[in-house]
Amino acid sequence: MSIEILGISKNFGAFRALDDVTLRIGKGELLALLGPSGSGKTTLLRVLAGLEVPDVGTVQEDGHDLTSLGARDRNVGLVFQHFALFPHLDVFENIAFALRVRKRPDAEVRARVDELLHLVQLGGLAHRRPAELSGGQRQRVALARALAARPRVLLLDEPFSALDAKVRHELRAWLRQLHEELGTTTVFVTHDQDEAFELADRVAVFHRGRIEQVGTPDEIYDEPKSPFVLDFLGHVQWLEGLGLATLGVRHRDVVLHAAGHDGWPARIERIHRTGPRVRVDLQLHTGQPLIAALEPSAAREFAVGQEVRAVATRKYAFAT
Amino acid sequence: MGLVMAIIRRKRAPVALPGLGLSLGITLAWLSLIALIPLAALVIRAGGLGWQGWLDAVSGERVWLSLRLSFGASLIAALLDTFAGLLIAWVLCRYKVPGHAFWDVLVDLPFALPTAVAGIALTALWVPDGWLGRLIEPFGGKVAFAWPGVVVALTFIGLPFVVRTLQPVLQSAEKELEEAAESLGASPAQVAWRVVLPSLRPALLTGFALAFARAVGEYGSVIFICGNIPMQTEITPLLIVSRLEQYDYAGATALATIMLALSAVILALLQALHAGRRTALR
Repeated sequence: MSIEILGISKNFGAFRALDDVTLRIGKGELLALLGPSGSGKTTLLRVLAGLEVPDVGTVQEDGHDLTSLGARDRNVGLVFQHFALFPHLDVFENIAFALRVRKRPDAEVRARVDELLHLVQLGGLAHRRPAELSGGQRQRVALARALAARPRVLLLDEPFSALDAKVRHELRAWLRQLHEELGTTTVFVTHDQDEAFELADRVAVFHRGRIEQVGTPDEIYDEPKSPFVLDFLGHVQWLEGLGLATLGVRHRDVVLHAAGHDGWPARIERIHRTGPRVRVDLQLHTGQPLIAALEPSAAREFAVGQEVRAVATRKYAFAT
Repeated sequence: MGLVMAIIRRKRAPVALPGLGLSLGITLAWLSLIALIPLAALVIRAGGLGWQGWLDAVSGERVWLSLRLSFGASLIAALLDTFAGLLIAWVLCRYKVPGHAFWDVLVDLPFALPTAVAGIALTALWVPDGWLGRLIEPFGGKVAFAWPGVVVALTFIGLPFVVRTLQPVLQSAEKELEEAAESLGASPAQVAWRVVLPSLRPALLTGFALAFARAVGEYGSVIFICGNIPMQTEITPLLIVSRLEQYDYAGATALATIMLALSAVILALLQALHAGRRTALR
């Protein structure tokens, strides 16, 4: 189902959580809402879930207005940041909840829950309580529970933030695969750009209740439309006084040459290894700092204290 | 002492908090001083009667009827408190009621009020020409000077225990659980029944147990409203007092041991129910 979010605003007291947000979500799409905390992404997810009513604007699904429809009647699958599993029910009954409240016959419930347990690879844990599960297992129960009533849309609020790094990466790949299998339209909220870029077909970047940019990961990474987007994606150095505009340079787009070459004259202050790349801290002759993230092989030619020329292979200029 | 040492030794596995021996000692000494020694004295005093004497003191229809009234009325009152307390705690926690602070203070009033004052006030309300007694009189209803009066007084006394036990649990309840249930298609009634109530069950049991325990021990308010008619509206604590007034100390303590034992058994059962639920949850 395609979903249209049209001109939605939502205030909490004096705080403007959403400010005239318009967004179209295609059928079967996997969309990420990316932004820092307080940027409105979770509020938009809650509006989609029917847990918040917008002050202005509408949510439509294939032309039908859903705005005033409560969470109960939307048939969306919602996964909470901390999973919100029912502590007094075992895994089986947690997953069965949506079917139990719909008073489905026992045999049907059993068949559907078994199917989901298999899908989320938790077959042996049907009679455990949530307290007896690991974080990754809880996450998968939450997902199975959300899928039980075959929702038209799956909404996930920071689905991986409560998990440790290793489990997070495994579950990301698994979720992507699951999405390909099921084809359910999926929207997830995250503050982690790696997560958004790795998982999503499209990413909507939020800032102060507005959408700064929507696009594929490639579009957003290669053509950031605002200083905020470039900055939020990280590893960027802002340079001023080198022209009329504010200039953003990504660390990895800085190339160093020996003195005498074209480029900004600079001095190497510090060199240190950060994961796969080597980080070189530079001081430009204008007094501004600049950081270059080099391949280890390229960094070997340079030493601390050396005078070099820095060239930015790609610069992002924003009018100020 | 041997028992204490055994407990200490059994707990010798490394613990994060130091001073188990000391804290256990203080706990036991304190408990002994304020609870165990007086209760032991009670049992020993009653023991002076001898087996046959004790049996005589606690048998007879008058004793049986008073026990039935005491425990029966307390049970009914605690049940009423549990229902009413749940509603009150819910309203106070979940809605912006006008005059919230006022109602909140009002809940505590039965704690602070001398029980005799409560008894007098309730009696004035429920006598046949009182504000409330007048309403039920035409239908043959009788509260004051009858057993329902006992229930009314005990309900009044026990209510704050339920409300105050439930309030913190309701306040800290995860809103997300309810939202999750709602988005899974549960109606408000289903959310309350399948999600909220199960999370309140331990607090409800505790509140019920406290209200019940308080009601069994209540004396002051009941004697005003129930009329104290032997064999009809006489609660066991009153029977104990009347035996004391007749200098029948041994007879009074014998009755007290019965109350003690019955209360202990009921509270232990509630505790077991509580613990059972908790193991089932883990």
